[in-house]
Amino acid sequence: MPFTAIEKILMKHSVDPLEKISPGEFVTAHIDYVGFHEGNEALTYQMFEAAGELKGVWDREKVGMFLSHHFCTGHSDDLAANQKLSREWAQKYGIRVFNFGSGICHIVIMEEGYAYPGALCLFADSHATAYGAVGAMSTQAGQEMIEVLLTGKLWFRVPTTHKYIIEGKTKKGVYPRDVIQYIVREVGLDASVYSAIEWDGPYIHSLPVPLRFPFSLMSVELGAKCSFIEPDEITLDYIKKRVKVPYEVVRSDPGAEFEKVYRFDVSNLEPQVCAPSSPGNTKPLSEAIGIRVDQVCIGTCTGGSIYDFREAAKILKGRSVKARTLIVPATDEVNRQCAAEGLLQVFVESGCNLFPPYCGTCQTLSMGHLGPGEVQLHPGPRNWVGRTAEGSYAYLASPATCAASAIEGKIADPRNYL
Amino acid sequence: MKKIGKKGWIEGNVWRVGNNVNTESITPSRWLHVGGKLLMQHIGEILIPDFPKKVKKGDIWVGGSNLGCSSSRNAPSFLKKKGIGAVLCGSASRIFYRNAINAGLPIFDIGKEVEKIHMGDRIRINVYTGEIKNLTTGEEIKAKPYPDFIMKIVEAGGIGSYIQSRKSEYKLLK
Repeated sequence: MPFTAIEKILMKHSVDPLEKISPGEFVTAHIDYVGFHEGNEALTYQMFEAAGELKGVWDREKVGMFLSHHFCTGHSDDLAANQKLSREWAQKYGIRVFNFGSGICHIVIMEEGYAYPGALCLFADSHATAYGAVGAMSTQAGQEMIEVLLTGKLWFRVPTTHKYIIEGKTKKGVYPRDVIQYIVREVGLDASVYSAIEWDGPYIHSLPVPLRFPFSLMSVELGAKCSFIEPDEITLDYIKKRVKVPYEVVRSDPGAEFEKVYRFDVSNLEPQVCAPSSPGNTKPLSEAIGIRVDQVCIGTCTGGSIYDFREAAKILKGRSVKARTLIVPATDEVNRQCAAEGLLQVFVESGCNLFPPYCGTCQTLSMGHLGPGEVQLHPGPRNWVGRTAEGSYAYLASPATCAASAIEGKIADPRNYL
Repeated sequence: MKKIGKKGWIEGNVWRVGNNVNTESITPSRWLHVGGKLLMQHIGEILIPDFPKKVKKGDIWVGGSNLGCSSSRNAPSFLKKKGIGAVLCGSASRIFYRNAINAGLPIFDIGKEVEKIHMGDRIRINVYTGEIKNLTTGEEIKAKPYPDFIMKIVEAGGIGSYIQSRKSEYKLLK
């Protein structure tokens, strides 16, 4: 009987040996890696206390604490105290702490090889779907992390799998960040609620791994529980020096059942802009040209890879920005690579401000807070009301569109600068 | 013995929101991180300005499809803290659904039937059987009851107290 990759990963990790599995069934599975960030997790530790005091965790090598996400540097009394609590909680159990400057947790986990083909990972954050980009199954877990810390196991409902096939080659000035937000608009925010998404097709498999992250990470913006991209030669090359444990590549069997199949051809796609205040509110860039932006961020989890900064630097080289502009590399690795290639020099000379590797201004908790009525543009995954200051607005676009818009101080077409 | 409500029944007034309601609009970032009191004063006001002032203990939060999408912040635990007794929806985001179960807040997804429930309706829900009665319109809806192991978590009041009640099974608990 043929199974999808996600079904096979769940079967492989099941506590009870399984020869078959179907969507809707419940499975208790062993977990390979779990992560926390500082966000509201201090509240989570307090909730853990409801279960009692821990003597330790099931395997401290398989747990990470990432001070990377919501507060970056602790810039207020409350946030600094919260970060201290997160650090101390992790240190008490011998859990590795990734301090600010390490970068956004989800990308760090893939760079450091904690997620790998066939692995089952959890993170106390919705964008945990990201690790599908390296052929792992990964999803969010919150308060129930206490069960995982105590036993290394958690229950799952087996999801149906939806296949999203992307074909064609994008035109100049059109990037993965444009493609994913176009797809979210086309199929809707609830297209894949509680399902797994398998991303496939020649377009996906032509991309370097970091440019696959927007698809796996933003799968949750389509309602998905987890994502999956079948590992290919590009994936295996990416993880070669990163993954330190033995692994087995898992693939969907020929004839496996996909509940829905979507097909997209991106050959004629124009650059896209997502308008306030929902990640489903995307339109062609041409309909947003000229909208004033007070602040631009280039970076974040879905626009902070080395490939993104190379494009942004091409546009910014020799030009000056009008909008106040934050450069936020996704990770320390990306930051170092930007430095090595001279990109940071380009950004500084164009008047951009360099920030530590971090989550970005998708949620303005630690940097780039906006005043009432102010507008920002960034390549992060979300622009919901409630993520930034009251009465402020966010547009989403590719890092290249962000760079062009920073120069003009209004939403601009990157193709004019490439 | 049924531990929740009277023989499993919860009754309250409906606070109704629409489709694709994200958790940031229930528990905005700017209040979430500055502490409980402010968050409780502002919870849900982006969606329903009166909600934080007028919600009563045992009221029912009702959403359309994809309720609680986006961020994994534990909106259900804060709604429970504010007095919400149960949640009904057309469909729930996976994260919101599991957060509700683990917070001990009963949640039922009832598909299109949710369209029969409106703001201010008086609703009775049996958490054990999934029976739902709209006392305002007289309509009855049947939700799928939980599997036993989920019912135990909800009945215990959440994952923390559920683990606490089986403490001896966990070698790593003091």
